[in-house]
Amino acid sequence: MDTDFIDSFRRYQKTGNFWGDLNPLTKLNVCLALAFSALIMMDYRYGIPLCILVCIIAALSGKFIEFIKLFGRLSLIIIVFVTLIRQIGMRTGNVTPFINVFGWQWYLESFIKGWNTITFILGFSGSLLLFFTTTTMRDLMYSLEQIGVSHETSYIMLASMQNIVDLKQASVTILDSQKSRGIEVEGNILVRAKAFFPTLGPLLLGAIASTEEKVIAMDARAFSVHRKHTFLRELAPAGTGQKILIAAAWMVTLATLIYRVFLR
Amino acid sequence: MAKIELRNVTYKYPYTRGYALKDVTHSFESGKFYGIIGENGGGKTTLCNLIRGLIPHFYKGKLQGDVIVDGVDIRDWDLNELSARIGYVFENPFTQISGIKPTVFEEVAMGLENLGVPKEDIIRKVTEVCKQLKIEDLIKNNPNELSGGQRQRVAFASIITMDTDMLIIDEPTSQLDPEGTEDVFEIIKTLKESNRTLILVEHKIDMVAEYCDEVIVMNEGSIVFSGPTHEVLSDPAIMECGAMMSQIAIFGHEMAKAGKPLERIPITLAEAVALVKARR
Amino acid sequence: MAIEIKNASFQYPNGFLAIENISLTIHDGERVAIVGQNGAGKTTAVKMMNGLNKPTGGDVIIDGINTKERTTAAIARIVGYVFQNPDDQIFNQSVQAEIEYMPRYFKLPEKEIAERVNYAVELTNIERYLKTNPYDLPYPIRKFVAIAAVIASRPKYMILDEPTAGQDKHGLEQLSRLIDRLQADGVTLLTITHDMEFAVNNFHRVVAMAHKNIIADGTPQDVFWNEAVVAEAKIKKPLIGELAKQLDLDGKILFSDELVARL
Repeated sequence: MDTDFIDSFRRYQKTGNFWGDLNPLTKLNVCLALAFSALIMMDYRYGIPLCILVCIIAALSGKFIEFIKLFGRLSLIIIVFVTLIRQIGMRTGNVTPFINVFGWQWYLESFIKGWNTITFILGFSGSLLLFFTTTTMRDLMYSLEQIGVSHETSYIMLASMQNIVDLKQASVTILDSQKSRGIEVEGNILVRAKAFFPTLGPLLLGAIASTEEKVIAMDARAFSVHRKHTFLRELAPAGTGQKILIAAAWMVTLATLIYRVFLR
Repeated sequence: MAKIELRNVTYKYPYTRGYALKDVTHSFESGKFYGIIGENGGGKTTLCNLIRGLIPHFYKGKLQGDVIVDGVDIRDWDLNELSARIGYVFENPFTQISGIKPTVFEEVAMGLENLGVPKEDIIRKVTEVCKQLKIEDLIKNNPNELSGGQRQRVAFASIITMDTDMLIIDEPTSQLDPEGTEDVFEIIKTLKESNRTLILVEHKIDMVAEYCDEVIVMNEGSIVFSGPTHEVLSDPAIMECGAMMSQIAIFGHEMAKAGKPLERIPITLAEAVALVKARR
Repeated sequence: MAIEIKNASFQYPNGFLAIENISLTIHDGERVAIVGQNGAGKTTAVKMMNGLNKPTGGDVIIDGINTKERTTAAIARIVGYVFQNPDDQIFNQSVQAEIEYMPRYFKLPEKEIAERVNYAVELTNIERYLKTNPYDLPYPIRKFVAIAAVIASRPKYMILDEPTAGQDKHGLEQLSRLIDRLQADGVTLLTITHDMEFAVNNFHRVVAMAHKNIIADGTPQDVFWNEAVVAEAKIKKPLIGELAKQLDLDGKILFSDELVARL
């Protein structure tokens, strides 16, 4: 038997990574503070360094690949989208023609002026993304339970995450079973749409039917017994250092607010 | 004292026409192992739901007669407190996994966490049960990625750690392969030695023959036969009530019919071997 | 005319190799039970037969048609497959609508639809549930609804995946009658089963699988009396066979009447 693993429950769960081992609520505070500061500043000179900062934190916490996959995709979409919108809104005024694509005139300003908006959106969403890629739902719910969120709410949140995985798997099986009856699912969009409908029924009914059993099964595990719960897996509570970090993060936000309101 | 006492119990599920249980009277003694057999729709699972308190607390419907658990009427029990006293393992290995625990060890510990048992005690108990049920090698695995048989073993471990003195086991093997079934019956054998009151609903009649002290045959909501395992399972009349008969017992009857009777009708393999050898 | 699996392998897109170079021919009119441990590749193998899994090596030929050249649905109309869990399949609001679904999908005339429904419910003995919503029926009955729905497509080959799971005595007897009747009407039957009594009582040929391969193929006697196969496939000898073995009787006994005659 893996005694090291069993012993790990006797201590606070630690990974040895500074950012990773912060209390989820500390991380949430820092990330929210950064996100709001981006919203307040609305300036590429603040947005770009912020984007770089969240990338660095993600890299330091060892989650760079997961983070950049999402963040990279998001960046691409936002840049293209905002540029397009700008381009459409930039028909008049003092503009510089840039390139002409099959008779569609693009202006240089649409590429430049969008950057304040783009970096704000990316700085804002990047901060939140940083939180969600470096914090598991389980850790977050644990911390929320510590500050009074109910056991039931926590269960529903966590079980829903698993349900999504399970539903995905079930939908593959159901589609296979429909194919096995001879329902054509390969071919043009109409054929696919026609095949899609029959899969929804079993998927939803299956989910509902298993809910009742799940309730009974969880009940057998004393889920609803009204006693103070033990947490086998514990996270370190936020110490003074972390509290200072939270305060510092919000100070940054406050500073950006003061800058925007009084100094610019 | 009887662990559970049923007196003239009649029950109807909500929104249904027929009665699921009709005038059932039976008492379950502490420390005994009961097998419940009979055709589907005969009331086996309903009986389990009743003893477990799901009827009338979870399934409403119309309940008449008395159900006494540990001396207290079922209607007066708090369902939550009852769950800490009566363990329940059922058929579907998938719905019994919580879906919120990342490792088997934590999954097994969940019941004790909910009961607020001190952490050191949880660790000790879970370690012990995982060893006992031979799932030591799985403790770090994600329970959501296990096979049906492995999940069922985890489901058993999760309930056994809670140390209830009674356990209801409803068709634990119907979705498992022969190896998974063997494993589950290995567990049931260990449980039998632990002096708990056990109630097992099972179609695999050979397993019932092997382990149970007493057998109850249900048909159309009533108990039609009950008594010591050997007496019930060797009686061909149980087949007329939709219950299956062991291949071994059928063989015993065929021997008698062929004019080569064995000393008595065997119900287990070992018994049949001994009886045939004795006759030679 | 036959199902021919020729040196076929199957590797899932994630790289997991589930079947490694198997060959198997199922002739018309046969009854074949496939046995073995979970994970041995049984389900993957039958899914190759109905076109759900196109072999990643070798070929699967159904009545002369290579499964790679047709859609799954086209192959599945020849080889019907009843999934283990009926809830993956059933989606209509009544048993009747469920059984009628494929005949209607094929745009058959009303008269033929009615005939097929009658035939399917007769074989599965679910006539009294025709107007019921399948989800109000108990699990073992839902299994029969799923079987009836596949029967209504009139496939030439039919695969039943764990049909005995959760069935009681009546259910098992109904299954035996259904298998006899389908075979009499020209359907070739295959089953995947963990129920060895069911396999020996209803099937003439047993294919044992282990470690992504077929390790034995023959009569129930040949397979269940081959101790090496029984051990490797982790299957259990039917009880009467086990009894005969413990009594040191030869002759590959599997049935009660044989044993009684020998004692």
